[in-house]
Amino acid sequence: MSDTKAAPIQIQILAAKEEAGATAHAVATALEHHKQLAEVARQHGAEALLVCPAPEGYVEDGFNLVVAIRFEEELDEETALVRRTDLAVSMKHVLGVRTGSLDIDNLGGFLRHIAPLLATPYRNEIGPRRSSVYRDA
Amino acid sequence: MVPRDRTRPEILEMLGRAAEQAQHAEAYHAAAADPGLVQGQAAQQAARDAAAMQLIELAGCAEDFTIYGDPGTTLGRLDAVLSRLHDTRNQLTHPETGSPPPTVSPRYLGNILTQLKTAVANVDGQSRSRMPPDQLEALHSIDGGLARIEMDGLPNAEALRARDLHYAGYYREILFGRLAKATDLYDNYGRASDPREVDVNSSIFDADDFAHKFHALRTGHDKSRLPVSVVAPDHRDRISGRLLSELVRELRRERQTPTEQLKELEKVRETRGREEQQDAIRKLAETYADITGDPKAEAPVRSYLQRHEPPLERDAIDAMREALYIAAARDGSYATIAEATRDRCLELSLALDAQQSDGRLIDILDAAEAAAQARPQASLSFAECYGLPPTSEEALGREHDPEPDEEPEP
Repeated sequence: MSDTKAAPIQIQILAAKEEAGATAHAVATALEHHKQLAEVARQHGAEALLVCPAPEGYVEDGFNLVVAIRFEEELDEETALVRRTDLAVSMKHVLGVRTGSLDIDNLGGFLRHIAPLLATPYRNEIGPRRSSVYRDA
Repeated sequence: MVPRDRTRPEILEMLGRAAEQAQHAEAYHAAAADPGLVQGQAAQQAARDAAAMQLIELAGCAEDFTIYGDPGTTLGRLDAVLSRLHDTRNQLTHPETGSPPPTVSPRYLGNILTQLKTAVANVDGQSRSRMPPDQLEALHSIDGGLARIEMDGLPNAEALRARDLHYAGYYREILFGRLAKATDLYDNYGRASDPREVDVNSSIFDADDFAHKFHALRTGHDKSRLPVSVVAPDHRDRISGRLLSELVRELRRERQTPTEQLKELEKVRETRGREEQQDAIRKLAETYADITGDPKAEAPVRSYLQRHEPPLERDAIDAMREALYIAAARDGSYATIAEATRDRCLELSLALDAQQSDGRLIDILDAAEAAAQARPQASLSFAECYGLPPTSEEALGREHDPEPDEEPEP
């Protein structure tokens, strides 16, 4: 976990349609606890979180929430996987909801896949990695 | 399932990917006959796929353990490892969501095994005695799975075993199953009349089981026997003599309109053309590196050819490679190369000189031209040049000048 120096975490929570059932409820819980989520994410060295309703395949496997994560540091794939799954465990403790994790910068067609579950169409509010914004500037 | 409203192109794409995964699985199981032949990057990939499957197997053993542990407690630590295990399994086994699966190396799997072993060992007898019977049984199942997977050993890309390749195949079968299932086309278990659909259906059904209870499907007193592969010729409902990947492709084709098929064929042709062109570029660059004895000479040649406008066709690049060999031989035969090819070689040599200060190709071509001029002209008659029967003059022993500007066909 990183030290406690304040670094703003970007969190975007994608609300789910009511008919999404348990997964919609899980997203609502995440919304209620977004401050705790931000704190946990910051402690794990995350820079951005995108909280999504879990698609049906995940729900069948017992996951109601998926969180896509970006860490402040650029990590190798395996370290990032370990850190992501660690953060998902901590989120589970905060929310009481089984949470799956993904890489926010490598979502492939995931957002298109969950589009039918979303209450409003997805709009990217997180943007690119902070360091790359600085580089561009 | 969510994707009931998938569009036709999405379904076709999904089926195409499913067929690819089935084909990967078929290739892995076939390669198990001689694992030593799988080398390099293919071996690395096979080891990762096998590790993914072992992780999935382990997660399946732990599926029924549902006791939640508070953070910082023994059960909390066990819960944390299991959550990580399940999370990773989920990422590996849902290609239909569109998110690319993570890379799971044997080392990652080894770390999870160690953590899980420690976490399970820390659950003492007293804690076990307080567990409900089903949870105690679930814990035993984790113990059993851990012991068996440890006995199986982790895959090693440098020394793949047949079982690793089979495991890599099982993993691809799960991916096949999830992709094909998400199309909803085969959601007719026991109802389909087309034997091909029955075959695909059974395969999806069993592949789904591999994702959750692979370990339970292993047989023998020590669980050493692996389940029948979904792509195996003896898999239930398999149409004799047909491959699963073939069937899926065939069923997919039947869902395409002729226009879609044509479009796809065109795409395949384009892709193949691009691959062949890249291959030709690579070979030409390697040839230049060979001729100069300088491995670094390869990259600028490749870069020049890749940026060439208009892009050069594969045949033109192959002809340049041939020309370079002939030029390097300096045996005087460079003049027999078609002028267009010689011009392209000259352009390349000038570009290398201008952009890289590499004048070696200019020297090679100059020397080849000089050798060609120095070579005594063969006294071929016009007819001999063009493979024609001799003219009456030639037949009478008189000379005939071939037209100086015309070149014989290469």
